[in-house]
Amino acid sequence: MAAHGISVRQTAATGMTDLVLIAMIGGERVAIDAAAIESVVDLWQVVPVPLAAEHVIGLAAVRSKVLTVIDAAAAVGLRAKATGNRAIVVEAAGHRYALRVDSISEVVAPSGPVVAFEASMGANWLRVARGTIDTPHGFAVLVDPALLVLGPLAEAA
Amino acid sequence: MDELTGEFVAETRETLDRIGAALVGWESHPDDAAQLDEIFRFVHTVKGSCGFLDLPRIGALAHAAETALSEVRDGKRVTDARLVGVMLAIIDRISMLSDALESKLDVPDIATDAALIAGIDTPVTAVAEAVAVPVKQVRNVRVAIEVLETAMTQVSDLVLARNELARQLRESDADARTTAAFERVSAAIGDVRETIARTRMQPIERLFALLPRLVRDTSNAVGKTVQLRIEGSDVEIDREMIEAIRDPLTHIVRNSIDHGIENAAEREQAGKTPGGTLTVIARQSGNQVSITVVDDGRGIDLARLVEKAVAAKVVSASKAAALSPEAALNLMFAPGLSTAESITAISGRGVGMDVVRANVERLGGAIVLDNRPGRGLAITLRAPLTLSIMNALLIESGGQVFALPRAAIDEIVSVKSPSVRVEAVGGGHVAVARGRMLSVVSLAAMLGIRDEPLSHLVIVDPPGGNRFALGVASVRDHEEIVVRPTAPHIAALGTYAGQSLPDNGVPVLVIDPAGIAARAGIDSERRHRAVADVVVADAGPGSLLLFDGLDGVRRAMRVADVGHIDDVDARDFVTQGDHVYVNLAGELLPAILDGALPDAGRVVLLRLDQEGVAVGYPVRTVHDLAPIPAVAPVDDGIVEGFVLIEGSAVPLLAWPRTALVSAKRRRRA
Repeated sequence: MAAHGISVRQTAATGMTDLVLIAMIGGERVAIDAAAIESVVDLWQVVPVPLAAEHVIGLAAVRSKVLTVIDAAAAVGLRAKATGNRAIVVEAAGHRYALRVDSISEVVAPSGPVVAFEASMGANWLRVARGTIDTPHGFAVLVDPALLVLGPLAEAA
Repeated sequence: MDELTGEFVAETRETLDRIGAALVGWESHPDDAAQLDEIFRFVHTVKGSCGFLDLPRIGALAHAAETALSEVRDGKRVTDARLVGVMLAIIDRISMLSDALESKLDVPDIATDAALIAGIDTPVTAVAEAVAVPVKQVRNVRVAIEVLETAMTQVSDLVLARNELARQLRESDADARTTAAFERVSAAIGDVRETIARTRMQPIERLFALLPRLVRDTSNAVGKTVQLRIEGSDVEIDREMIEAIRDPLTHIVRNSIDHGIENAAEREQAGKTPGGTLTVIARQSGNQVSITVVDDGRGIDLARLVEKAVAAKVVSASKAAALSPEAALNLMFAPGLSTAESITAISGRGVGMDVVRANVERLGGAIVLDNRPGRGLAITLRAPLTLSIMNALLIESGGQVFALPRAAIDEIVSVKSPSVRVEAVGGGHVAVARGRMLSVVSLAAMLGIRDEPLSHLVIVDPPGGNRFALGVASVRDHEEIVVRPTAPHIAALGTYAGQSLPDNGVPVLVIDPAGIAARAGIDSERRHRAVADVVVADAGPGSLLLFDGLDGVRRAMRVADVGHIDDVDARDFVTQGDHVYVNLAGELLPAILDGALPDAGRVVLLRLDQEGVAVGYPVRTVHDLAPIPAVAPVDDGIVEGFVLIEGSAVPLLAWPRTALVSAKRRRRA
């Protein structure tokens, strides 16, 4: 009924940052440390939260727990709303969130180390990113999900 | 039982509570000297008290234990499992015997004491037997909270799956046997859920264990003798709730001893026993626990309470005169009002019953007073059994389901009900129900979701706030929900008290009525005004309000016609041409005058609401409420008739209708 969980955690056997999940947010390729991900789920029904910030889409139940659903694109200040039902479940400060993204490809080992930004990226990307990383899919922004859930900077909101 | 013995029992119980951990610790680490010292001090103290109080039986046990323990401390005796076992048995026996001093319990024969003591030196079978005799023990295991939480989640999953299966069975013409089997599974799942929920529960005894000491210390400090009686300590409530009601209960008990119970001389004058009695009773009913603290003291002297309230400017003298006994008693909860004659070490320092009530209401509970002047006061503290499971009303607004805490709801009325009228006033809406005017707040509008016709008004009374009517599209049903905190983004909005997952598996947001009130701009610091409002609200529509007009003539009005009684300054009246208006909290109302306004000071203002127009009617004094007697009709447009009050004919005003017509004319003018 609620979700088919794909456990990502098992693949990240060491719990270290060796593995990343590749996903698309607002047309941008991102990588998320697999160790920070609880699971990938399909959201069944999202109940909106009136008055909440734009990136807070609502609440959804996954395995009898209520998750706060975050639109990842809106959270980095992009206008484009994430499409699809797939979401990445993460925990931040004791609360569980489902990050709705455009698409999720797979868990891969990065091809190189994390490189600090040099390119001019938007302030909201800078806020959530830990750098860029080379992957078999090409370069991706390494995103910290705990920062992502906080939403866009005040001036961008 | 005399006072000293009572103290001994209380003290012993208190210490036993404290050294419980040491006993357990010593058992697993017999070499731990610190634990041993603590136990040694206990038996030593008990022994000392027993000599003084002439309790030879307990004294002998304590003496034997002390001797053995001091030999251990001196290295003359080795601690082994057997010795620990015997020590524990002796301490349990001491505990049991001291409890028996207070209440008539069956105690083991004194001969078995000797067997216990003998067990210290002789590893004989008699010891095992003696150890087995006395203690009624509930077996416990320690379980990590996370394991319980996981079990709770798994059971919730099970319930959701069961509900889904039930739906499918209903739609699929299942045969009777399948249905019966499902019913059994379903009932079993319900039982499991209940059992899991019980793992969070503890006997309220844990909370009550602090009472003997508290009562003893408090009564000593104020020089009174107070005997404590406890009932219902086996009632079980949520662990968290025990912590949450500890402070309110402590405060109430202290208040009762300090303010309620008189000193010995006063009591004897009143024909009472010199020592007071404080009874604390716990009861469980449904999902609520009630704790009643009853004292046999002087009760609340209402006249003096009102006097003090007037002196402290909590209510005006004129309003005070109109207070019903219930409303007057409620003054106890007014901020800044102490009934203590003088500040003592215990109470009367400003942290008052208002704080206690606010804290209890925050938990979803309530405080009820039962005053018997001269004979005592009973204060009942009601609270939900658990903090996380809430009785909620599910409502629909803007096409979405929300939960409202049941504790904050006073009443649910259909907008079609004849007992309520909704009127558009100045861009907003007001509802007039039972002679009271309430602001109507549309939940959908407040949450910025699509507006809609309202079907029901949920009259809510948020803690520390003003009552208002929350308009919703439809009312679903009641459900017990497990409330969890929302993510910080959502909590920061202030409009939601939490989130929950009801049995249908679709998350709901729990509305925080106080947050909605704040968002709607409904003044939340007007508690004291509610005190006066109680007069009107409690009176029912069939009562009269008696008052003296500005011309000094006594008149009456139907309570149902009076929206509010307010207290305004004489300078709040403004004259414009022939017309007089009154500024009532920023709202300019046409005023009806039956005499000359005073130049200065406070004026009692009756606020009359009818047909969407409000008028102010200043009067000299409000007297009393009375049931409506027979009316001798006159109907001259202003006076409906005359009523006989205490032998004199009093005009019953037919306002507001005619008054409003003239008010409307004035508005046009």
